[in-house]
Amino acid sequence: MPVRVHLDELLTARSMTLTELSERVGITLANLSILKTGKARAVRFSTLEALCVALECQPGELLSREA
Amino acid sequence: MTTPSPAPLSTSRGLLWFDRLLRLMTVVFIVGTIAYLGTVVTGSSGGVGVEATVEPPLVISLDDGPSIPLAADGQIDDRALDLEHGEVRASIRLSENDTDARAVVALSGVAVMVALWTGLVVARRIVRAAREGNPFDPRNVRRLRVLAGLFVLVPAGSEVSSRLLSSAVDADPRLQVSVGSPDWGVLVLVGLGLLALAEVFSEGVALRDLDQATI
Repeated sequence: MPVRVHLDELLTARSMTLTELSERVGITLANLSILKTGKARAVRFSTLEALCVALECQPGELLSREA
Repeated sequence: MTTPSPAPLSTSRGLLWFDRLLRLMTVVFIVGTIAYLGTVVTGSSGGVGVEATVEPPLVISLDDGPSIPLAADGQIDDRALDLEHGEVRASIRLSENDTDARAVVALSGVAVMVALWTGLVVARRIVRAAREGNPFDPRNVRRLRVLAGLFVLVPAGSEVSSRLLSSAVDADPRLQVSVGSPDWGVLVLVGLGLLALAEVFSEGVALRDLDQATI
């Protein structure tokens, strides 16, 4: 998939587990796993905003486009 | 290891009543199939519809009987004759020696039964998937295409069997012998409608998959 989600890197940097993130943003662990593994086909702006708030980052840090 | 519990069925009244209608039709089909197979086995089936357009005065000549001049509608022996604007329709029972024609009629009937049963089973599975909360099951796309195909195949099959029957009974070329002549136009229209619905469902499946993969 050309757009990559840097969830692993940000979770490590923030010393947070996927479970903790799931509880903070209100997204199920299964859906976060789909996002983490690059199997998601679309992301809602509301989800992106919730993730950025929980991870204290900008959307550009969370998402990048591979060449 | 626990077995997954079955999905709760939808309480939609429309789906519920349609499901009940299909169940009732299944019972009727079972009875009809047993009755039809009984006539095939005992050889009491074998009536064939004959259609012809002739100019009056009308004279009906049968192989096993005298020529019968007709001036009005009526019934002669066990043969019902309907005169309508110079068009003659007759239902003739095939003799026991006419094995070729009887075989064609019986096989045509069995083929129609198979098509009807296939359609009924497919329709019940479509409704079942919808009642389980999964109307956009990818299998429903294929099922709708099967139903559409049946609506086109039945008149095509009827045409084939009529041609086979014509050669089997060695009828006068002026007579069009058939086991039944469905309205091509209506059936093809219904088939096209079902095909269009199948494509709509295909799009629905794609949109549902996209929605499920949207976080």
